[in-house]
Amino acid sequence: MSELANRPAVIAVLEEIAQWKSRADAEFNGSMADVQREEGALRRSIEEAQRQLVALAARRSELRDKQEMVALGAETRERAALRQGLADDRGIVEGRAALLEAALGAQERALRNMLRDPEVAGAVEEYEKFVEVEASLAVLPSGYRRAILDHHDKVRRRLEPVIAASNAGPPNLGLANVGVGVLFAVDPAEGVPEALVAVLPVPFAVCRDWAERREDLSSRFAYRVVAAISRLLTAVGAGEAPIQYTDVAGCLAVQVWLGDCDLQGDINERALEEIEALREEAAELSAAGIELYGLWVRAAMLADEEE
Amino acid sequence: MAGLELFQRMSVEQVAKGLELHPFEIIRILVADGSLSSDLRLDASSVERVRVAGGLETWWASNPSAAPGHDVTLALLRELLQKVLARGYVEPRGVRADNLFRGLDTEYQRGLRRAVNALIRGGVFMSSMSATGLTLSVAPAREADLRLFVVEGRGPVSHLWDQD
Repeated sequence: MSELANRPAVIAVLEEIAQWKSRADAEFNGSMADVQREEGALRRSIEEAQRQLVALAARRSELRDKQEMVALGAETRERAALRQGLADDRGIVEGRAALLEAALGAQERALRNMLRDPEVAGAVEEYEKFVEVEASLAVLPSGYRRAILDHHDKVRRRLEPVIAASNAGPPNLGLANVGVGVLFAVDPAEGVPEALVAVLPVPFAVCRDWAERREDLSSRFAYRVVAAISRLLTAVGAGEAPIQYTDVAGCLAVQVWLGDCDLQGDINERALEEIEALREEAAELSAAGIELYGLWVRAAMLADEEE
Repeated sequence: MAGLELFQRMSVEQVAKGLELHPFEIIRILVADGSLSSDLRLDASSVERVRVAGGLETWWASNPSAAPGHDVTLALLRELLQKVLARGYVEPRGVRADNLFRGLDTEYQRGLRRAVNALIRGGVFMSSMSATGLTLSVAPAREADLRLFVVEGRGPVSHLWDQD
């Protein structure tokens, strides 16, 4: 094509447009390359992060398994420790029961020796005769009755030391005090309890074989706790709740069904208060150097371990 | 020579044996009555309180003259049920289950307890647990059956007893 002396203006415009487009295309291609590079880098990061997430999930699972094992181990150890504690405490109560019985036996022998004193024996005989005829005194003439009663009063005064000694508290064994626990649990642990259980460190035989075995410190320990639980139930509006006595690891357990009661008050706190009150009240436990305490545990800890 | 027992108040165990009641029951009754002494000893008035507050009754003054056996148990059962009906223990009125046997020796109690258990299973007696232990009452719908058995020794109740 021949050169024009004067180029048309439109051609210059078209050339300018072509250059502009060429620059824009170059810019586009450069930017796209950046985007793709960044995208690639990000994809690699994401893949790395995903690998890390998978690894973390596996680690989490491992940690959870380990934690579960720790929890199971802790539960097993806790259950074993409570069982051992119960057995140890029961051993203490039974050991001290034997010592207290021996001391009570000596106390009784001393009393029987007192009764052998001829003067005391004579007074006892008169006292006994009075007891035999006491019911028939009402039919006697008043003067005669008065004379008998006056005489009996004198006899009674003479026997006052014997009567007082006969009903004296248990002798103090002079042993170091040792803490002995009663374990309490409610089920369910959260919300309104439907059942209460207390496990005592005394042999179940105090309940099952009460008619055959001699009442001893273990029996009286059980009486005290049964009384404390009865008071507790009355205090929380469950005085009519049925109670059953069962064997937990050879120890006496008191089970109370609370499902039909409208409980009022804090059973946990009240139980500990009742046990604490026994420390003051139970002279035979003090004499044997036994300091009672209550301990709340999870009900599962008192159940037998599942195979 | 008179013993120390002349001066000593009774232990829970002694009272339990005398009343034919578990010692823990005695403790519960005394706590409910507010009369449990701090030394766990009871005098004669406390024993009477246990008897009254606990609703304890002795229904048998003596054992039967014949040795324990099926026929004796059957006769005892009819006599027992007659006592239950005479005292009006038809639902809603209930009686302590241990009252039914108190006063009888263990060997006689054993047969009678089995028979009473059969009547519980057969729906003649209704049972419920309470603070004072197991309580029994005659199911109103079975009162007529029970009377028939007591008076004539026959009817559905006699079959229940036979099956046990």
